[in-house]
Amino acid sequence: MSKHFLTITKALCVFLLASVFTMGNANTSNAIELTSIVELEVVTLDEQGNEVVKRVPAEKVTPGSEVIYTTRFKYNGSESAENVVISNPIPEHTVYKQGSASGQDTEILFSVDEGKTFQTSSQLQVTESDGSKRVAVAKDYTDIRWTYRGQLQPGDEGSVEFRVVLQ
Amino acid sequence: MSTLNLKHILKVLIGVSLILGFSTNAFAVGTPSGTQVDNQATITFSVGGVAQVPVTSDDPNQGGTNDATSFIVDTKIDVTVAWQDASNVQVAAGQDGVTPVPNPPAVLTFLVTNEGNAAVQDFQLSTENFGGDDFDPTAISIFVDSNANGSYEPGVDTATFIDELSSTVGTNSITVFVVGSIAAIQTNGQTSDIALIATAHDGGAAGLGALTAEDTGNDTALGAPQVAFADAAGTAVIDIVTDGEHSDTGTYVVVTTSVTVNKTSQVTDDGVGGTAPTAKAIPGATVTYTISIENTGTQVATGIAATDPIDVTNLTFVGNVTFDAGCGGATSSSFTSPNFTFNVPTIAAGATCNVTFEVTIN
Repeated sequence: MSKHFLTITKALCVFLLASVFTMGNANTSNAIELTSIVELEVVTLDEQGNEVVKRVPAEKVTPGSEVIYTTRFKYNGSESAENVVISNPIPEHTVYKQGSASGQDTEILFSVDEGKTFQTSSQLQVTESDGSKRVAVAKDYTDIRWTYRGQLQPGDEGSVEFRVVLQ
Repeated sequence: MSTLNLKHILKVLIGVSLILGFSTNAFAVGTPSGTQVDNQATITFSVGGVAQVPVTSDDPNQGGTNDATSFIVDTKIDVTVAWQDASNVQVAAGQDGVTPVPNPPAVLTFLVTNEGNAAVQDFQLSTENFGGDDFDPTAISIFVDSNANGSYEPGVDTATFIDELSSTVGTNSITVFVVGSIAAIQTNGQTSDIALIATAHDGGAAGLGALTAEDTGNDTALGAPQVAFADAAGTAVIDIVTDGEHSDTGTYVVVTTSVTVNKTSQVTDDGVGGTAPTAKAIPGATVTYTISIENTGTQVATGIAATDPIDVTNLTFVGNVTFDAGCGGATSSSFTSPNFTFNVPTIAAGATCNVTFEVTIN
């Protein structure tokens, strides 16, 4: 038992070191800045009594709340970048809101197998336990992927977003 | 590190994640209060045909350099109260659960369900009488179905508030009884509407916790969970949307039983050879009286007692009292001159009870 524990501890150390190393690499290169924020939509009334929808930080979130994730990117490299892909797992405890993913100049694909394969929403299928197949619904989605059409030029920036409902 | 070790570690890690997933997500109504939900995007790209190191996203609202974008799930207070009786609960005038026996309690049955995401929640129970109905019970008690058998048992179901109701599906509902005393002056068809109100109190310890308060101040995404009310408006006048309580209304309807009584007589034996129907009403002849009591109501009639004074100047009480099948329970009769008295414990709705006795003509 203690031998196993030691082995695991070692493995975790190696893993942590590796993570720090990778992060360090990413940050020092700083070729792309990638930020992600989470917000809620609230409806307020303006002075004329009209409903105004505004986004606020996701502070009070309870089961049933719909939250919006916005991921912004800025390319700081000196040469153009290609094969630009943003991927985002659907966060744990949440369900993707059908039709909510957007991103200018991107092709949006979804996965139901934790990112192993991606398809458009209409092509995605789920295999039931009895072997039969059905069209996947938002609840089945595990990952979203935005593939940027074309190349990123130095200084280019943009954003993609999607919504989920907290279970 | 050997491959064997790696495999073993993977197995252990998968085992741990399965257990975590099971305990936090499988059965709760909603994501439990206090759960941290993380998100991180990754961007991959190539420059000059060479794949670059992928970059993971940072939450600019936090101090680090590769922070996941996270929030803490706040505490949702949500409760539903639902009246369970299929139709208005029929009660008798004077039904107070005490006397005379039998006098069962007048019970409205409700189901209270914790739809929130705190692990446990207490609920205070109260009732509201409405204007606009015909009457109010003279007294109302509220009891929790402590042994969860769905029926009210005096002396067993004694708790007056809900303690530590789970938010886990399958164990997040409990039955509550409203027990009313119906005054004897109420009349057939009168109704009384009673709303049961369940109000959230803090759970986590035995006994009724403090009234749960909604947090209205500024929250932060990663701060301690704050309390948000998410209940719908119920039927009670005081119960509005998102006020930490919910209510539903149950209705009593008074059903009084009315009985009609008929008395007939027939000379059954004139002592000189004649029998019914030709026997003559001569001195010494036997006369059989039949008292018919019909329950014309829709409720069982209970505790029927009747007295029939006999004309003892002209008649002599003989007896041979009979009760037919329409007379329910342990019937009894007695004669104390001049009164013939009998008791019938129950007569079913729509049934007729026939009682006969004999006299002779002096």
